[in-house]
Amino acid sequence: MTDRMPSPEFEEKIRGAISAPEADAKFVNGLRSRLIETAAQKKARRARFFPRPAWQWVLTVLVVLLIAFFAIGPQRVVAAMQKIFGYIPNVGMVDQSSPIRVLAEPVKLERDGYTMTVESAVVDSQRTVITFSVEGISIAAANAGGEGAANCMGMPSLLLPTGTTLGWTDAQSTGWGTGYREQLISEPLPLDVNEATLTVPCISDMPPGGAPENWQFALRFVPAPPDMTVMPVIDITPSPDETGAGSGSATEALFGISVTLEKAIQSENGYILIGHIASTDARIVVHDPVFKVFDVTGQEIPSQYVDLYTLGMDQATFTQGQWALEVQGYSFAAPLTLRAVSVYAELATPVSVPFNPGANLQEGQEIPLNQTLDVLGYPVRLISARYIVTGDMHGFEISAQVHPELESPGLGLEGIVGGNAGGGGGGPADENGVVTITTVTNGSLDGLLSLTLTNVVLKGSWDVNWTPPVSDETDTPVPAQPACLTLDAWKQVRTSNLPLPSDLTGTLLTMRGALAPDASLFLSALDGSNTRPLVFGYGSLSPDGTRLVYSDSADAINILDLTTDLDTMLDPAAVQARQVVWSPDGQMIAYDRFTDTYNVYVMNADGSNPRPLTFPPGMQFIEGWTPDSKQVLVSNLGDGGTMLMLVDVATGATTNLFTVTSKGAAGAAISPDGQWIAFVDRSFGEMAGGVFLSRLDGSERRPIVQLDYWPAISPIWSPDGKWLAISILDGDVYDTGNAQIALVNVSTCEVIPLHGVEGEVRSWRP
Amino acid sequence: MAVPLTTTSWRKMEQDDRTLILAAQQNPADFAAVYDRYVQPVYRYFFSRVDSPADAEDLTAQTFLAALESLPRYHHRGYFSAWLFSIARSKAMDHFRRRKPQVPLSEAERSDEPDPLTRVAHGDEIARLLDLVRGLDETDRELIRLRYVADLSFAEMAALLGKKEDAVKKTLYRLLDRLQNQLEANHD
Repeated sequence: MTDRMPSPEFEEKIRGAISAPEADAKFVNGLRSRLIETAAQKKARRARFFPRPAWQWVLTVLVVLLIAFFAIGPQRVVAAMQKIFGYIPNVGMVDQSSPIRVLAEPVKLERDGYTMTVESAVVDSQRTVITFSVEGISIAAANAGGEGAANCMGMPSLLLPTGTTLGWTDAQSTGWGTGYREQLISEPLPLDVNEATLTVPCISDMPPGGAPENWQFALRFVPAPPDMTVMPVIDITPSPDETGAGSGSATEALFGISVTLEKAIQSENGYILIGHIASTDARIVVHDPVFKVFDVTGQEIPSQYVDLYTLGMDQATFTQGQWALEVQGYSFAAPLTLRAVSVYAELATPVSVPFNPGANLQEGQEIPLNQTLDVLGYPVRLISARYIVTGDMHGFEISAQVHPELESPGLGLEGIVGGNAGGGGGGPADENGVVTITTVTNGSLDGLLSLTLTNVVLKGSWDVNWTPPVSDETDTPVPAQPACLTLDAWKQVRTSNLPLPSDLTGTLLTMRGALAPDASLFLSALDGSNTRPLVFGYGSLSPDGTRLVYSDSADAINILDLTTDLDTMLDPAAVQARQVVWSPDGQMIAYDRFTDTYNVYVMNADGSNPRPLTFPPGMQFIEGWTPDSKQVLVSNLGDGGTMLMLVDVATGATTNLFTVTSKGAAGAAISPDGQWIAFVDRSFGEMAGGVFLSRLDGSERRPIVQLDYWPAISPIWSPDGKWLAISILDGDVYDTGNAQIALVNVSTCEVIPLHGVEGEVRSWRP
Repeated sequence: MAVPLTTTSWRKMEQDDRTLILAAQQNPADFAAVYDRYVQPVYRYFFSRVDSPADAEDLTAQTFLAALESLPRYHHRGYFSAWLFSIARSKAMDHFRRRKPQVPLSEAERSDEPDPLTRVAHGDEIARLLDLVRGLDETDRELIRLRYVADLSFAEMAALLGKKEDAVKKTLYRLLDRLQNQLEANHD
């Protein structure tokens, strides 16, 4: 039988017949914000809480109410008393007006190397919150069915003695390589029911039969103990000192935008503040404010977004414009000012101009636009459109000059025939106020098109003030030490051509994004000269810089002689190696290897005597060596973060150093004198990881590079131990490609941006 | 200062998934780039199955949140899209299971609820084509969804379905051939 190739016309009919609409932009943006917030939440919870016996909490409530009475007036105190909610870390808000029950004791089951534990449960009048964890997951077993396998998708169930099954209203989980923790939320357990059976049909993501199934837990619920950790929730109504008239700044009343503060919850980090942003201007709907928080002296207080879904609030009450922000600390020079410096605005009536790109478009063709959109009274001048082709999509990169009070204009193509449009989000403006907006489609551009602006970010200054209660906490964090390199400073110096100090020499091995067989590893002098593509893979240089060890596209380990170009595979069998690192004495090679999971192995530099240093089910990645070549530095992914640890090559003895928040290979390196460790970690309120320096035990920690939402990765020491080469990704664009490299003197904080060298630095040799 | 990442750019479509995933595994905030790349195909896929914007949005959200949570356990051995759509398919099946717990999935999907693949379309030929598609079994309809709604490549479909790329291509082409023959026969 000969198969007939479908004609493009018939495929187009099929495509048209079953076409589904694009997702609504509001939904897309909202989910995007939620994902980013969730990503930010993946920061490990601080291990230390502030447990309060119940009697102490009662006193605290009284103190808070008295303070509130005098500080914010009786009306608000009454409001606060009307709703006595508490907040339980990692559970959310609980209603204390009726008895709270908890799990009598954790229930643990072990089967075939897997451990499942129902760790906790909390029942109030609103919800039942059950948390269970799983450990011992084998990645090999999870992937046994291939990426397309129909892995576990069964939902746990909670069966009551009455035969009723409670349905889940929400579920959240977080994983760490070999395990995960899942929180299940259902309607409240009936008051007269104190027993239930939780059934977990299978372990998440495991293929059928790949792990023990049908786990059953007999749960017993008892009244909450008096020493259970419950934080006070302060209900603030009406919001104090809202933005508006009298604040002295014309921009503050712009667009009728006001910020409202409604609740303050004491958290393990400080306070979680919940409020709204809204506008009385019928032309816009606003949400997703970006806040800065200041104390009365003008000192900025670290803050970070909180996912409303994690707070245990009734989701039915969620409204557009609602936000939650956590500020770090308990005692401040009050009042605090929460300043929305920008807000996402959707236009009630999008503005558009007709667009006729013409026929026979050529890739790269520039089409002048020279039209101006009036966006809420501000001009957005459309300069030109450049025709682009990417895969089976095509469209335009549109250059637009936006008013300084606007950013990220959402501009899209309308009138496309037979396809879907994507993109349309504008990035930040360049130094001339020009943004580039990319919009592409798989449809035809031959019809009558228009360029339509539907949303924009408004910049401004919208304040709400809040005076926190006087705190009994004595360990309010001191203001964070400033980093050697901040985002503002980096933006200023990254393009400058600062000369390299004469003592700064050597060769860098960098890793760039590439698809095999294209080279991903490159050699370059610090000034960008003599750049040489090498091979595809992960790798590092020998101590003398004459050889490269790398894992190739088949994950086999090779050594490339950089003088003769002789390439030697060390092990004829693919060893599933990822990162490979040469020891400082040149005698050994450490690598992480995927077998059942990622573990760290070492072997002699000639490939002999390969042996594991760490073992499943843990997930470990090689970071580097100690200067004496006796220990390897390993990041050990686990529940709550990544432990940096040293593993003795001779004995396998492990020394834990400290935990960082990364989930995966952390990026860390020990200084040539063995006294310091540079590592990637994330601070409270920072969206992206920065590079820090500390003693090996974590003491004397200080930030070296902290660039807000721009990630800094992969610190590598200079041979003399005075400088760090740090790779920096541009957080304003996703297609930045390769990282730019900053050299930072750890003693003087001098910063030198490199030019002509890009990618993630893997080695720095003399 | 906490700043949400708001920039999107479809130029990243030229980037390789592996780079995106590795970046996201090291820095979960970078998952936004993955999301930008796949949100519309995933949404369209769900809409084509449930024909409800609200349900499609809910399932899309569930899928990306699950993907974000599971990302540390993802090991890049092929196509990220296949892994992501395997989550999406699971969510869709969960959806039908929850919505119609008393009805077997196969029956639920054969029910009279308006599947977008059975929606009334404009034009006689398209309507006839839809009738033909309506008569397909779920396996065949899924092939069409993945190819023409989710816009997956044959290689991605093969990885997702656990089949060889040639086999997927051949199956789909035979299916289209059959549909085209039936359409032409009806037309005659």
